[in-house]
Amino acid sequence: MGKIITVTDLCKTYQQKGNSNEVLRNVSFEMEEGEFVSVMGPSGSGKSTLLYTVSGMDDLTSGSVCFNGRELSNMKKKEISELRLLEMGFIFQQMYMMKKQCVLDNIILPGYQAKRDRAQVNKRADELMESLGIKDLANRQISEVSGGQLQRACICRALINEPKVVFADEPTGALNSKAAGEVMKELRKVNLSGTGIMMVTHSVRVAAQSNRVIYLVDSNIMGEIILGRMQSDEEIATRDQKLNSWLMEQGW
Amino acid sequence: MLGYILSVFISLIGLFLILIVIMTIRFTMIAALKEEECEIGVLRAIGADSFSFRWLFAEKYIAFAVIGGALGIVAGLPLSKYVLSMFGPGNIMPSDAEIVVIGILSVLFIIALIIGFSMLVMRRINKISVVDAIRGENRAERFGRGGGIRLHKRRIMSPAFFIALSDILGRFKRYAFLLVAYTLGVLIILFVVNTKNSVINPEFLKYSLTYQTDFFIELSDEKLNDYIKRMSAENKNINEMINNDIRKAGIKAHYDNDHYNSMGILMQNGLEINSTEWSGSGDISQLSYHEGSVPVKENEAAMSWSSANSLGIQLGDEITLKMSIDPEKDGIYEGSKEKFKITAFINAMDSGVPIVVLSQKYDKNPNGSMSYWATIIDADGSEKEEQFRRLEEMFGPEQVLDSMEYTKLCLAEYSQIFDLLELVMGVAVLFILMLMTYLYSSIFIAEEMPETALQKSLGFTNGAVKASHIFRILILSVVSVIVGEILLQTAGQFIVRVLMESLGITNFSLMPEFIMSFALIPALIMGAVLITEWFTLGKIKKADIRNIKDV
Ligand SMILES: Nc1ncnc2c1ncn2[C@@H]1O[C@H](COP(=O)(O)OP(=O)(O)OP(=O)(O)O)[C@@H](O)[C@H]1O
Ligand SMILES: [Mg+2]
Repeated sequence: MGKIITVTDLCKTYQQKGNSNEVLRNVSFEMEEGEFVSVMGPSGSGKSTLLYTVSGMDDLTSGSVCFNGRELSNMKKKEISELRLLEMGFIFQQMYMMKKQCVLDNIILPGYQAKRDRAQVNKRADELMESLGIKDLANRQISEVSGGQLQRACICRALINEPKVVFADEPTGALNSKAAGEVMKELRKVNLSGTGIMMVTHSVRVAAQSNRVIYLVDSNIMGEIILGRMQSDEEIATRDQKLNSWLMEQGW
Repeated sequence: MLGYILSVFISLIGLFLILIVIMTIRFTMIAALKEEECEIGVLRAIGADSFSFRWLFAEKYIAFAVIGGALGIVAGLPLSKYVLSMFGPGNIMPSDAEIVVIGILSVLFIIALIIGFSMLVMRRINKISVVDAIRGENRAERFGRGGGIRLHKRRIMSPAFFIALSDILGRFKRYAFLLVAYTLGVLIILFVVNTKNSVINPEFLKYSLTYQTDFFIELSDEKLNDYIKRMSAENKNINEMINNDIRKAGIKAHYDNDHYNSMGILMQNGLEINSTEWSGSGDISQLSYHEGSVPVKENEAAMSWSSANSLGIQLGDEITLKMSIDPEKDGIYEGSKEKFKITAFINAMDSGVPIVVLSQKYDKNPNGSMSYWATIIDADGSEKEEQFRRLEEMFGPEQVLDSMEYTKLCLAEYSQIFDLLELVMGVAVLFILMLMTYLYSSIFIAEEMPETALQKSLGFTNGAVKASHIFRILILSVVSVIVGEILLQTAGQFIVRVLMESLGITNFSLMPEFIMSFALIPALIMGAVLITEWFTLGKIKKADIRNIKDV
């Protein structure tokens, strides 16, 4: 399998009223197609920034980000937007949605924006909602569904254009442990079907379900641990332990 | 009449301005309040009473009003003097002191408004619980239903258009003021332009008894001298001689001549009312009739409606006219009295001096002052143009005016004032609409940063985000233009009818020039608004992914 993301010597510095804040310093890593990578690290270590720069939502200061064979720094803003529309999906901790639109309209929005065949998009949205168990909520307003349901709707939206990679910034951060477990189950299913996932999380239990965990401290990658693909729910406990002890070593 | 029309129009624009000012203050205050809700919430949590923040809040705006007002007076003094001076020296100019007093009064008015609004706006605060204010979760309108339209049921509507439309429908209140301002702006411009077109129009000359003007000959000095020399020899008036000459030259054109005389109407109570009497060979059935039937018999007459109305004369009444015509002719001496039956009222601007039109049969005073009912070319289409050209050959191209040129000449005074009104109001209204678009749009963009960040994270380009903003303004301006056009045909027609009725014209209606009213003006207004919007949208670029936090 090929590399879907190659990051080399990525630096990101925020300039602020004369102060400069170096949030990422010479970060390099790779992600295989269809891989499930977690990013962990203390608060303020630059995890979200990494996600934003890799997905082209934020400019990088120096270094290179190559997504699916294309160098982001050589692309126009408009092309990056298009790339994001067609090949990336996003899930946030807060379930950001267009508040005035119903659940289904939110889900299909990127599909319609990509000018895909609308009947096909509607069909895919139906299938996605079916498989994530929120089909009955299609016509509900955003304010009328629970946090866990909304996060599943966000997953549907992220998947509507069949992206190569889904970026998830603390997708379970706002959920209780039961809802978090369900969302993770869905993400694993998504990953099984071939979509790569790059996820930021604070939860060991959540990160333990991914193939590989990258540990970010003070603007840089401290180390990584390969856990391999999770096969069944029974593995959680052992993976959890393994990751936990590794994190302890890193100074978690 | 001029002063009257002018003051009506200026009052209209004044009202418009006041409305806009009120709306804008209210809107910006609500927007600012939303921004500060959080801090206010904290303040309340600490225990400050609500009255004190109303002042806290109002103080800033009062300071703005005072500074703005002072600047306005300083800058406005020369500007208003300049504008007033354009209306001609005939108008009495207010003194500097008056302008300053008016300026100060208006600033005080605005300050009072701002204080009032602060109190009103801040009342909202009392309705919000402290916790809600801190969490910023009282923005109930954000959870509107998008006006009930559903993207997934749309086959072709673009997402950007959908976002714009559902936003307008779902949060209508937020846009109502902008809609009203646009509509009023459209209405005012349409009203001024259409009134001008309808008044500076050959049709309007009917109300000074000229029912048709195909041409008008302004005799050159040379020609005029010739005719004056011939006058005594031929014992005819100039129009009759011109008619003869044109006929001899084989041109199919003629004057419908008439005569008018000063005379008096003898009222039953013995009063004598000065009036003018018109008669002659013209086709008086072509005048504009308010009521009744065209006088045909020798002793029948029509009278201008507004004077008849104020003198209490009714259809069928008999009036006694004290004729004052050439004493040597026809044995009718100055002061002789004749009785006429009023069979019709005509729409005519008589400025309070009644006009009496006698039937074609009445021919006892051929030598009154000479005038004409109409100038007529007896041909149609291209032949009419050909005849007109031949008149130009005969009298000199500079000397022969066409219908519109003649109308402008007759109504020169109005024509100038209307041109000026059109310019001043057009510029003022457009400027205000552009300013409002900028102001509202800036606030919308600031408020919608989170939504913008979300859309960008989904892969919307800057262009796509801008498109939905443009669509929103486009929808609002299209709706405003439509409503404005409808209002012009209803309320506008009504106002103009009332206005004209007071001048003695009862059947007046605006005659919209199609391209001007339905294409050029809408395009101008929408163009100005959309261009402003486009420049304002530069700020969209600044939306950062981290703005998404406040969705
Ligand atoms: N726009 C900005 N300007 C300046 N500094 C910023 C900006 N955005 C983020 N930062 C800083 O960059 C650093 C990394 O932020 P980032 O959001 O990536 O952290 P994080 O690892 O995601 O933290 P958390 O786990 O709390 O979400 C922080 O110190 C933050 O203060
Ligand atoms: Mg973060």
